[in-house]
Amino acid sequence: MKSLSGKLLELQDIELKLAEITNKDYLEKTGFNIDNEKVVELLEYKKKLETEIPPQYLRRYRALMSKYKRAVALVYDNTCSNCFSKLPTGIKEPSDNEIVFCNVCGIILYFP
Amino acid sequence: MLEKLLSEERIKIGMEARTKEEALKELVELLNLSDESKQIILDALKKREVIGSTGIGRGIAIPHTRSTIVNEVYLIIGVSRDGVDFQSIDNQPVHLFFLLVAPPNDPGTMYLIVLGKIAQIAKRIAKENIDYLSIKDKKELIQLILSLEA
Ligand SMILES: [Zn+2]
Repeated sequence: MKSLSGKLLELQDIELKLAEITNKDYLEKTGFNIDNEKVVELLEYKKKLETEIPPQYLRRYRALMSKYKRAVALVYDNTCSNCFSKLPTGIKEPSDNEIVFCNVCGIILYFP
Repeated sequence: MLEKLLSEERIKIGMEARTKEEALKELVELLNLSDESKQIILDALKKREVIGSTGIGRGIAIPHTRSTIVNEVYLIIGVSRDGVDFQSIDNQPVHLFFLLVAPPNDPGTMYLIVLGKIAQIAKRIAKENIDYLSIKDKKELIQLILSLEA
């Protein structure tokens, strides 16, 4: 069973992929073939994943997405990889059903 | 551009994988990241393969994905003597892999540029029938790829 922040990260990774395969520059530069039926399956999987995320967090995810074009950012060296602020001492990895936000930019933090 | 991405640590000559899943796993295993991070990358690569194989034909594949779990661009090279069934567009087994992983917003869209460069190199290798399978030394393989970058 994935943690809540793990699900949000997976959702973001899927959305990155969907954005990529519809990017004209990407298709022109690489010439890869995309199977649209399989894209529909991925969209269905994404829908299912969204139902597993509590609505208030999904709303927050969407709001962050429209603000930063991403909603989940990695923590490394105790730093938020979205705004590069050092996290305050005491912030640690959330439990499976909780989420920790960056206290500066508000993004959802993922602790790898 | 490719020079700073190519590292002997991220090259595997003599891959053992036979299937697509095994090949992706064997290559991602070369990353110096946690098991959890590698699993997330593997999952993202597999999702990409489902919507269209990155086996571009003539024995070459370019599996690639962006993922939130990495904070820099990684390029991994794999060579398989026996070949891997990768459901390529020409149904031929894959002997040469260029696997690329990148963070969500990498500076200067390096990922797309690298992906384009690799696609060009792959086409050149196929077109000029370059014999990469006889290369035993990682340094030599790096030199070959760099010589094709121009
Ligand atoms: Zn932040």
